[in-house]
Amino acid sequence: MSLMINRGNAEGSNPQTSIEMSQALAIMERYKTWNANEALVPILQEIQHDFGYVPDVMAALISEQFDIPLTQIYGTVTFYSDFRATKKAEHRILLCEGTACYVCGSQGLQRAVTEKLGINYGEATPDGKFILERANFCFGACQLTPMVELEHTFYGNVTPEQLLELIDEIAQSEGHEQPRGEH
Amino acid sequence: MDRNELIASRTRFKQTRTDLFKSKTVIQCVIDGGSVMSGAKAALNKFRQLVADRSDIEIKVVGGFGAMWMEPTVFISKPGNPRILYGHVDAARAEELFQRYVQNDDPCKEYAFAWLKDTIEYPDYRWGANEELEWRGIPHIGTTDWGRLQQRIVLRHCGDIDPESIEDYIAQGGYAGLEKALFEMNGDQMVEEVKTSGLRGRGGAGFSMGIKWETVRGIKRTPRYAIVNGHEGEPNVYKDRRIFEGDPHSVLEGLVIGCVATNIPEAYIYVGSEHPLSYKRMGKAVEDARQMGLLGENIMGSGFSCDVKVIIAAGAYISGEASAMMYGIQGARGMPRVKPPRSAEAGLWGQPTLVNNVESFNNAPVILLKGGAWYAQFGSAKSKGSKVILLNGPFARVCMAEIPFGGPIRDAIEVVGGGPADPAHPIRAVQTGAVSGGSFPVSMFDIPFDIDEFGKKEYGCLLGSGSLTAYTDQQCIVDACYYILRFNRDESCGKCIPCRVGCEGLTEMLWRIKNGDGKETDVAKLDSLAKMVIEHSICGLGQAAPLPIINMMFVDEFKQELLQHIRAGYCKANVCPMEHSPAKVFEYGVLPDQVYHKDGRVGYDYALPGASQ
Repeated sequence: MSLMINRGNAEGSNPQTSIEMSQALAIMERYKTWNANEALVPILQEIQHDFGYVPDVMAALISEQFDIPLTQIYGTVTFYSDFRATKKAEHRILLCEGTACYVCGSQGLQRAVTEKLGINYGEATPDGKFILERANFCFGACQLTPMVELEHTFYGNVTPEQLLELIDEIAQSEGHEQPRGEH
Repeated sequence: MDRNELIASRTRFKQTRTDLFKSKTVIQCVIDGGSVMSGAKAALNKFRQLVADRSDIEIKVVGGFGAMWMEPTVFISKPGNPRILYGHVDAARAEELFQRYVQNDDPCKEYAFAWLKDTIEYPDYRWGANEELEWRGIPHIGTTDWGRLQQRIVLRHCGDIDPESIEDYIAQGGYAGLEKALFEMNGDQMVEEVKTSGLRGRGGAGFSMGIKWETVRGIKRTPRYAIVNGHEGEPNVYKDRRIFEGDPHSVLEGLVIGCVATNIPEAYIYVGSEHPLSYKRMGKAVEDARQMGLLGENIMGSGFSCDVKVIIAAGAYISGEASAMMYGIQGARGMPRVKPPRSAEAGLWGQPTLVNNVESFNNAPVILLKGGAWYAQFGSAKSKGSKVILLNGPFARVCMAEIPFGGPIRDAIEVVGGGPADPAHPIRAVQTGAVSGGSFPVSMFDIPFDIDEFGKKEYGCLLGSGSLTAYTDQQCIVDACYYILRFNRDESCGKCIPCRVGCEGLTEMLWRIKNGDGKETDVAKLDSLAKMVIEHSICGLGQAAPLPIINMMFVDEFKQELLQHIRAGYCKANVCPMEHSPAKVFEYGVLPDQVYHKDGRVGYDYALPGASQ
């Protein structure tokens, strides 16, 4: 991680524009009066929300501004499931894996996605369009088992066929080719 | 506002509310995290559109009522008529209800589930306390199977008040407990009252709340903190978020009561990030209370100051453990630590800290108002009061309910849950404690609903957060057990080795068994490894994760199923892949010389594609 930071905006890392940097500074500004350690998680949450992941440069910036060791920030980012240290795919297919969803069919959904897109849990398609993730918590609507979250919309009582249709729709609506067609 | 002002405004708010129900048609839509996913917003918008220019109809939003199997749900109350609960109200049905009942006088019996009063004041919070008559063919909720056993102490306001309105809460008698705590009792009396109530922590460990309060009160070190633990990362557990969403002020009141009793000026409410509506509503509740002077400096002129901050967690199941949660607030990795010292002695920033679950705190206002002895009359000898239960999976009624301790769990499964969703597939077992416990087979359904009875060591079950998941013949016990171990392996923080490595080992073994690669020796290995992990792990996750295996060894029916997987390579629920079992080998066309016969079963040595983990 520290290597990346020394390189700054060099190729390979995800370059941050100056607008993004000032955006991040504005977030940190609001927590200036807080106890540094207590402010860490809320700041990371806002950065995660705005950028989709916690860029290395931002972590270094927090470390500098709040005098928190970079290792602690890195530790926190990698520990909690809400934070991402690297940029992820455009569309997230989030399968609920609560006990009820699991025993009522989320395995079938996973198999269908794996078969279609060739990705397992935690993996992204090579073109960076889709990532398959399991929700290790509960969506809290267990009457709708099994559930899927796609593009911030929740779908209940999903069958594998419906899920594949949804994925097709998303792929097509953006003018991308059919995920399978190119391989 | 001081005490007299609060009492005066309570009378005023109550009058407004009574007048509202007397003079207008009130449509209450249940909007919570789960109902929104079932399309409750569509019904709400439809109603809003329909009544746009009518001043005699009021639309209100209420929190999670718990009748999840028929969500989206709506209550309609016309002046002079009782409040009627309707299920499955989508936009079309909303329009039909509006035309037939709101505009005309047909209560749409076929869509109605039950009627109930527009107050929370049922004797002892029991709908079924008095035998109420049918109203135009619609039963009273206390006579329905779902309602008759319930005792809604914690959920008393859920589905009744608008969670974003402090006026509604005060009108229904809110903040009276805090008033009593500030002006009529001293700390010792409060602690005594909670101790008399026999209330045990509802987060899973079941430690006496009164003793916890007493310990914190006894330690004079400052600064000191109080925390509501509302981080609920467990699959199939959504009670805390429903309480936040349905009745945030009650949690806040309970928390401040706890702070008064233990003399704490600074408190936190820790809400899971997976529940956006919870922290939105909880945040609003804190803001409103602060504006009303029920929080902050010199509460109600009593001289006591207390401020509350809502903190949003960042995921990770293990952060729900008390000590891990405090590291989370401190911005560190949320890993549990070795206890003692307990959090009462060294908690947040190493200072004395009072940590209780949302549900536990929610009981406090009622206990203070009605007295500990009143509370202690419900429940069983060692588990007092009532508990929120969550029924999931193939139940006829997937729901959140609250039943008193003491009755057989058969009541919860067959009466509240209504048995299986499909009568062709009867329930054969229930999973206890979401992902921290084993299952009870049908033969054990008469075990009392009680923290200690559930938690008996040999059963390998836990009451935990009160979640029950049904298994029918379409669910495989070995598969469910694998799922639980897999979940715990993923969520283990990795701090102590027995849990980190042990869960991995157990998961791997079960994966092999699921794929038809199980060995006869695996049974003994599973058993001893599970016991080792339980014995040597430092926190609740490691101690609870292998319980399904202990349970599988204890219950003969489950053990037979496991042996069937190992010996015959057969999963009777047809869930496990069994890719290496003889039938599959034949299907994949393995050459005869690759197949061996050993210990009475057929196997072969080559891994098939997709079989490895």
